[in-house]
Amino acid sequence: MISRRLLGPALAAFALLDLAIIVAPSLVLAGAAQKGGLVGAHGLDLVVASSVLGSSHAALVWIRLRRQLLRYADTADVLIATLNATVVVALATTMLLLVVLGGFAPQHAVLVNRGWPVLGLWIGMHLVAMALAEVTRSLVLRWLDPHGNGPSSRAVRAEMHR
Amino acid sequence: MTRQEAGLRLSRRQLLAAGLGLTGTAVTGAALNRAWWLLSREDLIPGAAPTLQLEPHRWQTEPDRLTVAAIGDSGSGGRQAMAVAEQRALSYRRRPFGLVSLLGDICYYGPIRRRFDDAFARPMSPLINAGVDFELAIGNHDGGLFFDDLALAEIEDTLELLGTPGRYFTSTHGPADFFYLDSSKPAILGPDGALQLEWLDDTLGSATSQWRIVALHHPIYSSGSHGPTPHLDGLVEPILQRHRVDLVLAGHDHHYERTVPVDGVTYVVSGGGCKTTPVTPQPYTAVAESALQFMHIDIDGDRLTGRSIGPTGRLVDRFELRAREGRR
Repeated sequence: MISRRLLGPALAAFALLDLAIIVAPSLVLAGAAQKGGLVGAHGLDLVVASSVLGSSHAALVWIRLRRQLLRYADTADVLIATLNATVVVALATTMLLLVVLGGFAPQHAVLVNRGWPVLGLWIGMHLVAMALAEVTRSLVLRWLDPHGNGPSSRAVRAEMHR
Repeated sequence: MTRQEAGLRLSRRQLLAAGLGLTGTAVTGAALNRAWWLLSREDLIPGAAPTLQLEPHRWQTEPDRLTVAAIGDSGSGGRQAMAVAEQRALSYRRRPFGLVSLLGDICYYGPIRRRFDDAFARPMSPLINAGVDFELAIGNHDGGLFFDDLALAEIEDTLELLGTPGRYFTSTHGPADFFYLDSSKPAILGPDGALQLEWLDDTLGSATSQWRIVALHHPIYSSGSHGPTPHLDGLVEPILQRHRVDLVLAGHDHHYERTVPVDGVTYVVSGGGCKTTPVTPQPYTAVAESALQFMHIDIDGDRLTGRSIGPTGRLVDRFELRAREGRR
């Protein structure tokens, strides 16, 4: 089990990292627009959407990580799975934007012409990135502990064996 | 005793997964650095077209008066392009113009046949509906010394969709002669390059209007990320100087820049139609700014006033040129 002294910094690091990497693309876009002379609210909708989604996901990461780190003796599985999930959400959030927006520009333009809001697309891509991260976390945990019922099972088995 | 009680001994799977995570962290760091750089220089978020209704044919072109807009590198169809397009339409409302000089790259993110409506027709729709004319200096297509089939097809499509008479041509509007060049490497250094240069020399030599304005995509002078175009300065620049061209308009680099007169010729880069890239002023730079913008040019007799206008209407630059002596 992780010591309480380390718990706070570990939780804060993962949650803040999660929030930062989800919000970053929208800040990059808003910053570029501001630098180009588009002052004011340009791009603010994307920043707000990313912040809301990023905060929610960061809260989820915080709560789940806290529960698991306090409860289970063998915390390595939890931390490793969270690290891998963080990498996936970081890559997916930005790369999805580049691939989907850059590679399918004509299709998106058609949607916008029909009144479909860009915000819907933006939120959808973020949700896909978060879902990929959750799937990764779950798969890594399962792979690390294929026969158990949770991160603590190996520790429990080790205790019983002793 | 658990592994943790015995010290930090990880299983093989844990080591593999941790290694993967740490490697992923390093790779992701480098990839995100590059991806965010790219994101900040593109205009990928699709934008809604301006809906302004403009009064058609409000401009007045007379033998000694002309108002024209110029814009480069506007072909994203994104939010930034639409913001500039809206300001351009507002600019028409304030000071109507009957001509837009396009400085190349009117279509990004796909072939022009597929993207023409989204990248050109929609952002320009208020001006198109107002009956404004468009003249194009064609953009990149310069992978090597020869055009490949794909580039040629794209050029042909672009010229046809815009109704442009050729890869290089001249036009006269009021007191100004315009000379549109194909400034790509194959068009200057390739097998037919000499023909275009000879044409430019001859046409400029026989020009009779008070003002001579050259429009091309690649800048001869630029302090931006692409910089000056090496194949132009030795071949095209001497012709422009010899024939005392007044103003050279270019795009390609995504910023605004005006040089001090170089041997009497003022060079402008107006490539902020939808994206921006950094600019580091050089000794020949009078004004430079990494800004979204377009140009609004008024000619009134022997005075030309150029304005670079940002996406919120802010004046990025204003300059005046006087007609060369002996021209009327």
